[in-house]
Amino acid sequence: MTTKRALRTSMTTAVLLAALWWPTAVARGQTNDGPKILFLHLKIHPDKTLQLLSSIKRPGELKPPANTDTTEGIHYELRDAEGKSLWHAAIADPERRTLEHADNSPARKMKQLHVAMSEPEFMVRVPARTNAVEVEFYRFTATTTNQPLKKVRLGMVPLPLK
Amino acid sequence: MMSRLFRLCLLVWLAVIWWPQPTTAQGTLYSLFTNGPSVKRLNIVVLAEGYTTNQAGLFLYDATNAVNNLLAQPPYQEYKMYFNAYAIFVASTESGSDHPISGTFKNTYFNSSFDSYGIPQLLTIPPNNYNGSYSQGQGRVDMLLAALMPEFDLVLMVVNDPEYGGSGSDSGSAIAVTSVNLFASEIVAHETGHALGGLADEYDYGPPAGHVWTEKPNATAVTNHPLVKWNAWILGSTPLPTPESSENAALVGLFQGAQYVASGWYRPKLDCKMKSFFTGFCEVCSEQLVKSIYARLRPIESFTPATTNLTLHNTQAVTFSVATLQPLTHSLGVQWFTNNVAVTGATNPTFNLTPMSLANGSHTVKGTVNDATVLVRNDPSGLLWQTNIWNLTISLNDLALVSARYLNPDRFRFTVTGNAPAGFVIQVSTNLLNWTALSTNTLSGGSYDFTNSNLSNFTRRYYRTVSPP
Repeated sequence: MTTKRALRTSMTTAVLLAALWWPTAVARGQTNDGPKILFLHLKIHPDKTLQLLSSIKRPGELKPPANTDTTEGIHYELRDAEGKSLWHAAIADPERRTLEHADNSPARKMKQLHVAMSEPEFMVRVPARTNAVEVEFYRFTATTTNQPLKKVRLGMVPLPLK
Repeated sequence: MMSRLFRLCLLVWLAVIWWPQPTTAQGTLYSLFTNGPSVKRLNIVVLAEGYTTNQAGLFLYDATNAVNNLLAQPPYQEYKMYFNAYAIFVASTESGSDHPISGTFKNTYFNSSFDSYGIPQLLTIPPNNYNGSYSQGQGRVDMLLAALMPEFDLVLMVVNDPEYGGSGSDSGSAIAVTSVNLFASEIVAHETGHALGGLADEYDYGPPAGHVWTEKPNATAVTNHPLVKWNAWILGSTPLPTPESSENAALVGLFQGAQYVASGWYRPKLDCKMKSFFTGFCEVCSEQLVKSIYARLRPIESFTPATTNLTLHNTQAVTFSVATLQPLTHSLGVQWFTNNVAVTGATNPTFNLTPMSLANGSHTVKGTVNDATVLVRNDPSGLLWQTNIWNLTISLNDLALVSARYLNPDRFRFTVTGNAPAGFVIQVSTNLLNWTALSTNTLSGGSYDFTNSNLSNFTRRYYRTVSPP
């Protein structure tokens, strides 16, 4: 009886361990040898220069960025030694935070609040590619009304990071 | 016995769905549900704010509700299997959130606060007007995501406070911060329209200073019917611009007012979730969201054979297969092609090819998958389509014995022609049962001349070639 119970306990433990390990391994699909994501923690200074504050490389793979055909926000582009673009994404301008909320009326209408952020810090992700030599940050601005938008470079992070 | 088995299964199931996964010094990752590898699914992550150590279970309940409420809304409902959902629990010292106007302050992990910028229901985390430090709010979100779920796609924060409040934000990784209030799922769903679909706000008031008006999938300044980007949804009988009246509420048209202005910009429908709460996404916004999902996830999950360059030397059938993503109520369509010609009836995920059905030489086998959902009418980039191509070199043994003739004295000669890349052996028999090898050869220029001498002792001989030898 004791042996039977011990056997049952062992089997239960084995089933539990297998069940617990499986979703973690399958769901996350991450290994040390696979692709990696580079997290860049940055800051925009009042003179509009960009500073890399910290970075961390983590296992994983980014999905293709969508909605990059915009002239809004800050664009960042991963490039190789020949200047070829390896990756391009855009984020909302960290210097101008948009907060959307419902008002207090019975209709609960949506409203927006725009807040100018001074010296904002933010995080972006890029794929950690061995052939990448830099991440360039830029935005599109109009110098005068009705003029075509011009690409203005904010800064560049050289790769690989030490 | 059944009861014990049931209890064991229940225990395993509960452990699987809520067992904590990786843990950092501050946070613990839980899987709410997974439908596939995180690289092949859109990963929703829910963060805990204002839950104490003892409230982890409550948080998981609230997080599950938040995700379920979002994915119950069309078009997400149909594509629920395309998502994974995770929860990151991080304990706060106190439960709830700050309410500065009433003088209530709570010690919470992300330092969330109602009353942001003087608006009672505006719930935000730093940097905000109360605390300008990135590292005490948004920075903590980013650190946890990097540590526990680097492949995140949509991030929500649930604040353990029943007061009505929340915010959507286009900056930072978290698209929405919401209290556990009825409105939470409405704000979250609206914000996914921006974050996933790049959709514009359709309400026609409160233009933000410095807003730059640009064409968006659901907002246009174009009024010429054929040029309207959603014209596939507009009936020929629909007046353009479309009058704002309840009788036109079901129509897709051109309704004036969008992107914070009442004139000059048009939206597709009288009402939509991008305009107001407690309504669904309109046809045009739904179409854009489905396309945005497919811009990130491809319809083919995997395929076999894994190598796409194949050389076939024997006649054995080869099975090609594609594993596709699976919407809730319909399946993705599959069509197989050989040499760019559709194979009649080959519309299953697997396709068996008999190499002999094709001649020796180079060929292609193509498996095309598409989502023929009624939610999408306009897909010029082919986002809902994916094709996998295998390049085949077929090199089957194909031998013939030709030009057989008897040569005096006692010799018999024939020519072996065809294709035998691995060579062949000529065998001989007197009874068609027992065969003896005579010589092993290779074809030169597609033929080989063979002469058998000293045949005077035989009244009858049979010859054959076997390849490979």
